[in-house]
Amino acid sequence: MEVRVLLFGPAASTFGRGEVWVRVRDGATCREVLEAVTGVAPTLADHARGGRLAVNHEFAEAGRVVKGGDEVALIAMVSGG
Amino acid sequence: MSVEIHIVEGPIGAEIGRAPATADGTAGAVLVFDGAVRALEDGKRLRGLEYEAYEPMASRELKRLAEEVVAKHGLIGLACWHSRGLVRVGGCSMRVVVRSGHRAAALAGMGEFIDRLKRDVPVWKRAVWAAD
Repeated sequence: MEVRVLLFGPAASTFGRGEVWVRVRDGATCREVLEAVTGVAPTLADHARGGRLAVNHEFAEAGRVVKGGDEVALIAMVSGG
Repeated sequence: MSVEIHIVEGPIGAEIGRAPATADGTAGAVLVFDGAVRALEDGKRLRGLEYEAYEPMASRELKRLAEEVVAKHGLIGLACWHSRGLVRVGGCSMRVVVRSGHRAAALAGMGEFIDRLKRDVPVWKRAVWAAD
């Protein structure tokens, strides 16, 4: 399945867009989605390594299964305040 | 206990969150923290900082964090305003108001809230340089 991963802040600047699409197997976990992000966009490797995925606006464990229609976002290098 | 979270456009006005907080006599300590935009970043002159928040996750994470900190430190309340969009140099981009019976809990709670906000809440800032 195709998964859209939203990007913000430095990750979006690095990649040049606010989203990246990856192809993963049905039933893929967040860990696999993160690995796919790095495969598609090696420049995001540091962001993926230091970041976490959020699924439907909640931080997700690495083993969580991503389903079609989920909103997936890479939360990395936050800098609020 | 009370928790209040606001993501607001642009800088946070001087009057926001400064209503008398001790009228009922329960708070022995009221802390107000303002995060302000500095003029220089790495020696370069800024025009301001542009804040981006991933909503509604940012508000939810701020609320969850505030509730945890209030419970952990036994605070009376915690209110937070955070900017999104452009905040020019000298402007306030974040205000946190903590009310507690005693100062030690208020100071500890304030420190923990800000530290964890900077680590866990999906908000990003981008430098807008004066020369741009």
